Amino acid sequence: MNSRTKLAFRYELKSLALGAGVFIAIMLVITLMFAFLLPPDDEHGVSYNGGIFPFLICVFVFGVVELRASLRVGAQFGVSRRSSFMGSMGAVVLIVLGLAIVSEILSLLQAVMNGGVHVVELYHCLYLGNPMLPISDVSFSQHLVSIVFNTLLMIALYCFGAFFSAMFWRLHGFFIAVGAVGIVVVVNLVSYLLAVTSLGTALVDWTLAAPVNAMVLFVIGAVFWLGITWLIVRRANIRAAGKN
Amino acid sequence: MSIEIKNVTRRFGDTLALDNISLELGENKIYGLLGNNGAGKSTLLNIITDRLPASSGSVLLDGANVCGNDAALGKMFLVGEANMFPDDMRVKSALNAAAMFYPGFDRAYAEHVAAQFGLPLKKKITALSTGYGSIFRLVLGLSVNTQWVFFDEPVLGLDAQHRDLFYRLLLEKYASDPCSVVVSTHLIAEIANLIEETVIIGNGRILQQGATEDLLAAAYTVSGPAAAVEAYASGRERISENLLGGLKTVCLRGTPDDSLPEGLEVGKLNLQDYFINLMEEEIRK
Repeated sequence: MNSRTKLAFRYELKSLALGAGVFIAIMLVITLMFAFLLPPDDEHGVSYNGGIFPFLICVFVFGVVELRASLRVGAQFGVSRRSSFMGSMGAVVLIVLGLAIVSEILSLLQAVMNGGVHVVELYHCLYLGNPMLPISDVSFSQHLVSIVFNTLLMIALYCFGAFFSAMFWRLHGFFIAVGAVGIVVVVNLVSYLLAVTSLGTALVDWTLAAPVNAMVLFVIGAVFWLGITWLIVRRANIRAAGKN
Repeated sequence: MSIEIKNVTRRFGDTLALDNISLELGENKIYGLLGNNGAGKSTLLNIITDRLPASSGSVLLDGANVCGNDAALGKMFLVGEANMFPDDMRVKSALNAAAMFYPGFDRAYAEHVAAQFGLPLKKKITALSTGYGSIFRLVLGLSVNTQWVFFDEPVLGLDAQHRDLFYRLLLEKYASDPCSVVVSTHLIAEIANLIEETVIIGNGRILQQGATEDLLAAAYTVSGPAAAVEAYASGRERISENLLGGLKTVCLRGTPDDSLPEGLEVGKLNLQDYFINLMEEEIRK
């Protein structure tokens, strides 16, 4: 890693850490609020699950916002597109790992503070055989696997967000509408094909068969979206955003 | 140490913004990059600093291609017309970031210059007025201490007092820490005394380049009665002409004769007049 890539990495780490810190603080407040709001009575069968989803959305938004910001700052401060890109991704991996750890901890905290509530997370729900297995019954090693699973998922989502940003950065006029409609069509089409075609259902079954399969898919997705994003931005005109 | 711009062309769709430009910028000089609106000045500066890729051609810094080259890009700083920083960034944070990316960044000097301009350090960059947005970028450019500093319309929105302050600070900086400076501006009269070398761009092509003194010495004006002026100018290379009533003024290339016919007056050109005359010639072509 050359010196300017390292500088880009340090700058992005600081920038993303600030945003991630604010997000974590909000999630902590929400977790504490739920400790008082969720009824502790186990007879009602209350469950709290999907706590990872706000993290996934947050990281997707990071991808949308940070790509252009990092390229612009890099262009202003004499950092090549490649170094800005690589420095950013290095920072993203660290930040996302931190967010995955925090998500796991917050879920455990939720379970501890609210003894009668089933707290279930995405990974546990999909891969531990019992969708209602409370998080407090999950082993330490399974928590670690969950963290890796969520980290890779978030990296893939970040890359997808970055692709969004890059695509709309290069599209102009009429083609912006084409891109916007195209995304909706493609996402729905892919979902439909996964559900109705034998190849689609086989892929879904394979993904759900083992967590490592899903992780491979996330890595492939991340590399794919990142690769396309790089092809889009490598010769982009790095313009300012707006006023001043 | 030099920057070579070799056969650079840039198209935007059907528009040819730069047409096979070749230019060499030497070290430790102040260059003026002059041209009308849409001439290609900003496009050229953005290509040199790799913010915009050329359609063809290359830019070399000490023989190394600038494109994607961190080492080369780290030696340059472009003070552009618009803000490249995030919306929520404050002036102080931008100075911190500059200090991180440029080891030679003089933080104390930056704050001193900011104070001279009255630039508030705690304000968000996007909340600054047009003038103070320019001042913020000037502060960075004056403090960054890279080997190459490019100013693209640096005094946009600045009042006369602040413009004068900028020119003084630029000269002081250049005198104490010589570097290569390229200033692209429309306010030619104000910057004429600072510019050692002039590059004039028109319609994406280099029209003239050279030491400012040499360019101005190679042209002159002759004024007087129209017939007499016309007779004198006949057979000489004419840049432009202006007729007002019975009086005519022509701008000619070369040096005037030692003795002129009676009634004619020779005048020297300043840089702004030279530029205007050159643009009129270009329009006529």
